[in-house]
Amino acid sequence: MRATSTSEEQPLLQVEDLAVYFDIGGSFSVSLLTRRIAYVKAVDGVSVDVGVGETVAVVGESGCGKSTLARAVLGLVESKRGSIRIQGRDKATLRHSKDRFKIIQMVFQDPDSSLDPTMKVKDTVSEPLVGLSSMNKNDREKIAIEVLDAVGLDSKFLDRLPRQLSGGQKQRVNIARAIVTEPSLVILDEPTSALDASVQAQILNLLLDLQEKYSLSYLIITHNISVAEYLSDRTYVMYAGKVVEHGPTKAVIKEPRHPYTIALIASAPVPDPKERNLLKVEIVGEVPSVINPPPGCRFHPRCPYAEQKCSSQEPALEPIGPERFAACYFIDKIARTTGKAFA
Amino acid sequence: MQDKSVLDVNELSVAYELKTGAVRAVDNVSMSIRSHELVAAVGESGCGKTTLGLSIIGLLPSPPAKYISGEVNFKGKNLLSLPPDELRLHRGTEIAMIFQEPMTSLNPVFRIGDQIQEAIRLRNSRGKGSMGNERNKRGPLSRTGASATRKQIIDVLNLVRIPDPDRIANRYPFELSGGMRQRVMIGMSLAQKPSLLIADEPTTALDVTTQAQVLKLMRGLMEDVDTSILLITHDLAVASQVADRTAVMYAGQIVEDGDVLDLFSSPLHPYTQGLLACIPSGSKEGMKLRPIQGSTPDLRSIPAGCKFAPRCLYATKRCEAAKPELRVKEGSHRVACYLHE
Repeated sequence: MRATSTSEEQPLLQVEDLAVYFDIGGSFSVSLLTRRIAYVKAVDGVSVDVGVGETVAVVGESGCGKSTLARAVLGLVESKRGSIRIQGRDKATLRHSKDRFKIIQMVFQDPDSSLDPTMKVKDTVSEPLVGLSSMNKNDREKIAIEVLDAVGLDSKFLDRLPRQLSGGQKQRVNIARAIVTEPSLVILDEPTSALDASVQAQILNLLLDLQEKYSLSYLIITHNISVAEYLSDRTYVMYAGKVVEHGPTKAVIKEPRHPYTIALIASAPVPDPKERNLLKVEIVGEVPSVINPPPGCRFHPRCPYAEQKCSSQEPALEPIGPERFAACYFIDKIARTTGKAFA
Repeated sequence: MQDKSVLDVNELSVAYELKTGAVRAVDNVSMSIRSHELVAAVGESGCGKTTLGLSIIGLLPSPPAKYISGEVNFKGKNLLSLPPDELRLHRGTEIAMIFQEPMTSLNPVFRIGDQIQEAIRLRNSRGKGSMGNERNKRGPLSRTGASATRKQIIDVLNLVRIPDPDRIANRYPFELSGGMRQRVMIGMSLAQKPSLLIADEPTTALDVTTQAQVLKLMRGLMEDVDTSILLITHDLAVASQVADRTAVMYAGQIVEDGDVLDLFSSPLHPYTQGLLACIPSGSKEGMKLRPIQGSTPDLRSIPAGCKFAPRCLYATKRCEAAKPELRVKEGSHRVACYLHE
């Protein structure tokens, strides 16, 4: 379903070498004495791009930096270095432009805390339109009604407050608010993680329908491999602030190459008691702290393939196949033995 | 075949009495757990799975909770008829429970080792048969006693495969990761060598690679410490990976249960089928998901007949009029649906 796979076309979103550090300097006097500030290197040199009409997923576990990446793209956190270009324009120039809401919007994980508890559904959804054009209140409401209909909420919801909605309905309102300006790119940060299974499935299908209807591009942040597989064209796998592997979703999930991707996919439970892979997973340890990440490859302390080199020198993302990249010294060796190390 | 059952829940009904009316959170549930068996109770939020767990171990806040009817037979004794003092003897030693967020279950101001020690001491004092002595025992330990206890603490940490247990024992809960904390909780609850462990969403707050490790550990420990597990989870996939039997709950009732292989290879109840169809597998180019329409019912205004009828594709007049009973379909596979009579 990719509208653009040709490389000459300009991507909609282009993130290059992005780094976001959070200062956790401790006390002022200590930092004066030692002249050292501690940082949480949440995102550390990440490049991601999203084409027009494309759905890109960023997957990883907690603390890998996937949400920080999304927030940096939206301008909610300052970046330390790197560039973010949207439709070829630098993000900084977008900041004060009137049409920024028409370019990029976001849906957050918690459907509850991202809604104003005192605002009616119709006001929440029509608010992004204020200031976009010379529309009056009636026009804005008319558009809000249309979009609410598109997300499956009929007119009886217009005057409701968030507390009168279920979790799934709240997330529909959040989605309606994000798409009401018909933005080019919608960032979805764990859009279904707070929802029950049956509601999650409804929302996933809704996202696909809306993408078609409004020709949206999605950047999806998720910890759930099967959500990424269902929605996305391309997938980036992040670990401790770095991208370790990326490529077409199908290929990455069917034939993962980086040892971390292999472990991540093997650990995701499948609803089939005949294939009890979960109990065979051999991965040890937990996600490292990004304040003092391990030197070299950040995955090496947990990696069954790690050798001397991995603990001293960080591997770079290298091409490993059509449109595929991974950051590991032993991709060839792993390709020959895949499936034996973890599962 | 181990047929000795550890737990028999018999037609248990539990309600919460609220200002706006009574809500039946557990409605006529019958289930049993045999020794060395891992049974999963699966369902969406509000289906009563947590209330079921809490009512077995007797931790329901009352009021507002109220036992309406039924029995919880644990090793042949009806726990609901025991006086509170006697019930306390079982709780934590014979039946243990762990929860979703291990941080809230651990005391933040005590070292891990001290908290494990308390659990061990409790077991020892109860082993001698009286509750009253427990407090008197809290004096300073003799030197030999101290080193023996230290060894027991390390044993517990070793049991749950915590690396470098000597160092971890001196840490505070906030210094450990979520996965480590949950291991400590599992260790503490199993230190008592309970016959039944109720695990309420034990891995929901954990990352997938950590979840895999913790589930594998729990499954492995069942043999080592001779226990059965009731795993409460919202995740059908997790149940399919670790459980021997699975019970699917909806609006307070078990709608289907059976051997995990039967239940997943031929799910009978439309709700179970729907839940399985909701799990994304494969890409959108393959098959689109067929979600269950609507949302979980408000327990205050429950339909008279089958509770799932308003969302069911196969619902008939009969389903709306009268509630189908949970009946054996084949072997141990039970389902509450008129389609399978």
